[in-house]
Amino acid sequence: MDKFHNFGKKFKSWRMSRPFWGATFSLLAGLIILYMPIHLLEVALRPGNLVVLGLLFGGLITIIGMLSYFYTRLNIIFGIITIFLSIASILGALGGLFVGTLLGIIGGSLLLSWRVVDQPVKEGEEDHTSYMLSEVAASSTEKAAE
Amino acid sequence: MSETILTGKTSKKWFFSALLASFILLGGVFFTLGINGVVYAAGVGGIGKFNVSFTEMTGTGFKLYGDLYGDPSKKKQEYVQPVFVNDIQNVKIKDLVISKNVKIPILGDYTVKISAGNKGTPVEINGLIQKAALVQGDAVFTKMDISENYVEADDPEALKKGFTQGASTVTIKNGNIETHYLFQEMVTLPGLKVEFVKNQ
Repeated sequence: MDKFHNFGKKFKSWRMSRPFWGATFSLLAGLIILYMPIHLLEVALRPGNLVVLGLLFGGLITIIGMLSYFYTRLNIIFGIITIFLSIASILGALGGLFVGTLLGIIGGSLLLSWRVVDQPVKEGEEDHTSYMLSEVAASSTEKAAE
Repeated sequence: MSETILTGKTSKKWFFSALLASFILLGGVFFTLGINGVVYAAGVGGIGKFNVSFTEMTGTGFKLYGDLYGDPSKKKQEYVQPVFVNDIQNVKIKDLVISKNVKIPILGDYTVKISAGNKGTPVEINGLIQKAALVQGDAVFTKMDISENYVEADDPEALKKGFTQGASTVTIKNGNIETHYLFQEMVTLPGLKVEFVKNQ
């Protein structure tokens, strides 16, 4: 039970340290937009065909969604690009029947509006994260001293 | 040295501003498409069978051949169905209706209907490819050729090559087509209307 509780706390800390919901919505949007171009793959690969745009836009949104989990400082750029590609995907993939477009707009807006807020550690609170800036700096200093 | 945890929060002001700007941009795209009714690379597939009906369709550069729809590599009968492929270079369609029955949880059975080309200006399509399980209508062909070609039994493209039909022009009146997938390189949809109709 303790392990589950600790895992829950660690996951919460991990989630709070990045634009989690923006990245998740963007990832979902990308996968939904990719759904139809993948079913039309034999047509997409013909030269001069625009279905390949749907593959490109859906693929890019999916990749941006995944990268947003790890490159938190680039959230504004990722958000703007996600919104633009979600709207543009209407032309290449019908926006995943518009569901992908809507999710992409919401995900992109969440990414764009995410802001870093440093919160002080409360006394006695156990450190469950590896994202504390001072701890990372201290450990690298210790390794250098060795 | 005070320690801090890296956390983030969503700024409501920025979120709603971004959302509003996005929907304004989306509205602008729909408005532009609505004026022209032009959609590029419109493909519909992977959603099951749907129905295409119209009062009149005229096309040039018509080809018809057989194919399988599904994933033949799965080697299960349920995943593979024989279909006709209609490959037409340029098409004009009057009173086009594309419909599909859908089951919406809680709300029940609905029919999604997309209609266009019913106010005098026909729908125009370039590069139409359609995989149909059923084709009904009154058809007129000009310069029609039908050919049967020799194919090896184990040739994966045997259905496509074995029997082909071509025509310079094709006119189908009161057409009704059960389609598995539909692709259009460029389509104009004047008078486009999308509606959900409750099934009784």
